[in-house]
Amino acid sequence: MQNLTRLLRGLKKYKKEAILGPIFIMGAVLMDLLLPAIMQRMIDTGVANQDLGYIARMSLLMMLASFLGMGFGLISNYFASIASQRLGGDLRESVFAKIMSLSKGNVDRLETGQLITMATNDVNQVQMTVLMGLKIAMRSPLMLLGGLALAIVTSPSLSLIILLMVPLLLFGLIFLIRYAFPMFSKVQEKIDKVNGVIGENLSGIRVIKAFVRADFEQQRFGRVNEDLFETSILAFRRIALLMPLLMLISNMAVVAALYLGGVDFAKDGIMIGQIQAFINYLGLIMFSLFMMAMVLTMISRAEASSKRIVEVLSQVSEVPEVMEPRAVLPMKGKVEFRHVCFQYYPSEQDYVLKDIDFVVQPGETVAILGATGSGKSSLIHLIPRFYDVTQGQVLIDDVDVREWDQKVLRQHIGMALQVPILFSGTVEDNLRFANEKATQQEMEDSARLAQAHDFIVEMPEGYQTLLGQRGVNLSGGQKQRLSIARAVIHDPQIIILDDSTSAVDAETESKIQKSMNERFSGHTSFIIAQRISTVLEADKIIVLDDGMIKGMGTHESLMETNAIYRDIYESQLGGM
Amino acid sequence: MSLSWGGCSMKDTNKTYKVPQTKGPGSGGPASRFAKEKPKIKNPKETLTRLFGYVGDQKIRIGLTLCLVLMTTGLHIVAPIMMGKAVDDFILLKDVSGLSRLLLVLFLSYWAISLFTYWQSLLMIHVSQYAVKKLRNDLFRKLQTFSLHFFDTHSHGDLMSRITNDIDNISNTLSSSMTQLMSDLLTLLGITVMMFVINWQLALLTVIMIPVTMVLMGLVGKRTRKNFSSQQGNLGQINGMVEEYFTGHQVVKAYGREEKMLEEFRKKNQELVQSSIRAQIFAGLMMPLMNFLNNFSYAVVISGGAMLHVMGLVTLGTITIFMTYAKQFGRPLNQIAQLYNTVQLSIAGAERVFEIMDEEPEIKNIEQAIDLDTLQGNVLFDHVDFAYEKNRPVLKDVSLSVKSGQMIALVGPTGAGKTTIVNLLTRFYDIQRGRIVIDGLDIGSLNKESLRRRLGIVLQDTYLFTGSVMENIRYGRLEATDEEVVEAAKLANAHVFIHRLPEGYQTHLSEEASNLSQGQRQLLSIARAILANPDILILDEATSSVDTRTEIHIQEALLHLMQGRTSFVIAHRLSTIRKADQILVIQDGRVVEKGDHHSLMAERGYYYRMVQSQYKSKAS
Repeated sequence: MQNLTRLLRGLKKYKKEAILGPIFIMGAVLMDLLLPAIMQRMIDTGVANQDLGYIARMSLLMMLASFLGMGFGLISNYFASIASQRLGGDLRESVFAKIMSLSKGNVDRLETGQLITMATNDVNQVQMTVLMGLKIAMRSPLMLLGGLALAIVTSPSLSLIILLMVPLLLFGLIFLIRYAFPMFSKVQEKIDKVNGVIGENLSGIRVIKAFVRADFEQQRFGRVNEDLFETSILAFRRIALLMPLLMLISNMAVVAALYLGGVDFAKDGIMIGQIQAFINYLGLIMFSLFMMAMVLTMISRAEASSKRIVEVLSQVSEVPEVMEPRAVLPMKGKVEFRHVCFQYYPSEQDYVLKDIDFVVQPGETVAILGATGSGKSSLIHLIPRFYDVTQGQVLIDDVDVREWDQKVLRQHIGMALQVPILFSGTVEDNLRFANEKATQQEMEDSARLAQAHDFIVEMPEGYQTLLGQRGVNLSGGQKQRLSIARAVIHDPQIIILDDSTSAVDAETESKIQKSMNERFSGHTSFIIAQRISTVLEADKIIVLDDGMIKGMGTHESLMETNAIYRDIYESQLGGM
Repeated sequence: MSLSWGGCSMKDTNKTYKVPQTKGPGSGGPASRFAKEKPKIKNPKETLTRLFGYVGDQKIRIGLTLCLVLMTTGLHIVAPIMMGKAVDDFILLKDVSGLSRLLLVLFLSYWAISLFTYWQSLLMIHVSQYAVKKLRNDLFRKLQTFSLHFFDTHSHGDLMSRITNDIDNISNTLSSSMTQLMSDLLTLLGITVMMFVINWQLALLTVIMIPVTMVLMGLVGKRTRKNFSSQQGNLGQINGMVEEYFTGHQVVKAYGREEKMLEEFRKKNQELVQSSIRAQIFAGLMMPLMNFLNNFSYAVVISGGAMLHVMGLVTLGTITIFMTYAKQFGRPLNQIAQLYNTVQLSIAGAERVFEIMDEEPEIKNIEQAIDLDTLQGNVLFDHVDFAYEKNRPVLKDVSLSVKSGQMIALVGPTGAGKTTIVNLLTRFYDIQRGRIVIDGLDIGSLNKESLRRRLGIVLQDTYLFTGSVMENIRYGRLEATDEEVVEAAKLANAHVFIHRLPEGYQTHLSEEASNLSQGQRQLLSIARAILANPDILILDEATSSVDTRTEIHIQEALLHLMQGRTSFVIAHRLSTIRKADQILVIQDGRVVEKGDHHSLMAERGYYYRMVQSQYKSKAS
């Protein structure tokens, strides 16, 4: 409960609504409770005395009570809706703001998929619970207590039935919560499995067809489907027992009330209206208990959701801003790694980068070569401070990146990644993402430089063409080129290309490279590339292996001194 | 299923127990009931008939259920009458022994109601779950028969939702809504008849509720749906935003756009809050309104009954009966409209499901398709034209001829049609014009499954499944032994990194295999192809994400693998293709140059320029 309670503190902003909602619902419950009491008077006094005027008065009273009950219900609904939806909105916003403030390291660890589910489903779950809670949570206990009290007042002798009925009902409800509901999370697990197989089949359809594995997949699906079938049957069977059981208990109570009432009546110990009113109260008690069970299960689910939300909200950015961040402007673009060691998780045994030490002067071009997993991307991620070093220092213009104002620092760094991330919106929106103030000319120039202009204007609406989520309607090479254009339009002092032309053909790549060299002469650039031809002209080539620098220098010097480099060179350009 | 007596009826007790949804944005909560616009149904009769086809083999269970529904409804209608009789004939006459006899009957009736209800649920649970299982299996089997074109042109999200959400809706309807609807209608009808039989004045007072309820529900329901769909629209936008910006977190950070994004989010979120407040207020109207109608009609009936009693027209027992009926009346009325929506939703869902079932598999084997055991690997493309979509030709008049054991390389700019050529070879798509001939046989006359079994493909986008590394490689040949799998991994140069994984070959790969690098994934997919031991090898940018040093090693393995096999290689890196017997330069869907490395260099065309640009630094 503590997590949900913590989130509920957000209701303080909507104190008025959060208090008025339950108060008005109390009024509505009161009216519900009044009705049987008035009915009893009508029968036992009005009918017994044949007093039509009294009956009419009671009748008006009942109608009035119904009206008031509705009025209170409507008002309560109004306040509860406002309080719950506003709280939900606030939660959603604080979650979003939190994620935006966290570092890449945080987000990696929390897993994007789970964050998305949390920000959408979990927030909704809490919101729904608050809404129901404000409307029902006060209603059921009050109805239960009121029903019990009035039942006892109406007929103390019949109330013995309640003593028997309530424990039985509670037993039934505990059964529901303990025994049946958990089954449904099992069903959900099985559904997830079924969905998983379907999802894999949709994404992997080419492979499945290529290897002719339809039968195999059918069997795999058949198995998870059968599993789901069996689990669902079990779960539904358990839940199916509940309603008939509850019905039986309360119907038995009614029979008992009729019998005991009849016996009492024979002894002139009770009146007919009393018996009827009592039966009405039995109904209210039973109803309120059932509602309480519903609320309880909802709360327990909301608690699970709250826990996930609170967990994220209490995250602290792994790359905190220092008290007095520095910004040495204009940035010249000197980059220095001083004995940098780095690992993603402290628990890891090995370092991803080991004792990386180099200096890049402003305007130099640095190429980084190395095998898959040798630490190339990790290295360049330290420059815009996506992560903090474990040991050592990364300095830009002789200032530790940890002391830099993060915003200013990143404003001067442009990156294009191997897996380019685009957003839905127009091509222009995506380019301007990096620089809102860019002119049309600047934008087109950047696109031209990245060899993207031609295909952009060929699209139905040119720069105004809408891209699907993550740019689904573009090929891999096109996405990469847009991502490069975006980095260019950012107009950075340090530009980083992380294997950003892997899906672009060689000819286009060399064109991009050429124009990049012209455009960014005098700027510091880092290039990670697979093709050795792209790196030959670099001022400095760093050969990485297993997180360590195994060679550093120009092409010529490396050819002479570095075996790994020669290896790579020979494999690609040798023998031509 | 109704649970009511003179007191308060239990309005919410008949809720369908929906499985709590944990996935998919915007699900859960009462909102989902209104979430969709009124579903459009084209042919309800036919859809229902087909749907019943799925439960048809369970006629006995269904028949039994119907009987049970009839009996429980009947008992429900009779029970209040017994209560009335108990008041009139026994309690008022102080006949305790008569009362006990009647109450014994009532006692037994209630037991019967509960037992029958439970039994009926058990039956329908089995019927519906079984039908749904079959439906899912059928749909999945059907999906497997579609060509790639189908998957290219249908959104995966939409397909997923048909297999899961739509079938879920169907399941709900089959298991509870149908019997519920029937029992509600019967109850309503039965009670109305009984009321008029017992006392028409009081019956009229009760029945007046029907039109009032209908009108109110119609009014509120319409506005609620409207408000909910606008809320749902806003929610969808917000969720889309969350998904995009969380996924693109790194880019947002890189360009320092956090505040801007938050501002944008805040704006949308405000819209959502406004619309959801409206939607909730409208949705919340229903409960107090219905409660009022119930209470009001209760008040009217009691007062009317009391007055009539004073006039000597009705007995106290009759008032008791009507008190119960008045409460029982409200609930089915309340529910029918709701159920009607649910049923409609699921019929619409069923239509969407059957729509897929009716889709023709585009690529079929001809009647007497030839089964292949082995291939020699002679491949001929004879003036082939192809378009994924009409009027947008991708390949134009492509001809090529490869002899058994040759290596052919396809080069050219992105989007020129290289991948399309190999897609045609595997018969993922059918061509519009020309011929593709393998070993002298037209590809159209071959059994496509037997053809694909002889082809080994390593694709640009690797795909790994949830399961162990071992299982993922074995996918290439299911009957391969562990040793063979390891052998293939060694050949693909994957053994070393697999060995370094926490649990070696038994390491579990998560969804989308995020625990492997792009290059590692490609190595696994190469190992898979090696294990398959194909006659024709297709490498579509198979090593694009592998670093050069690793590529050297893979290339050794691949060259080894290619020996004696026809192979198609698409690669950006020219070093990979220098050794090819034939190099085809594809540009804009046409073959523009053809020859080996030397002859193409001599030609000084596109290929020459490409090589020059890649090696320009060396020349300088």
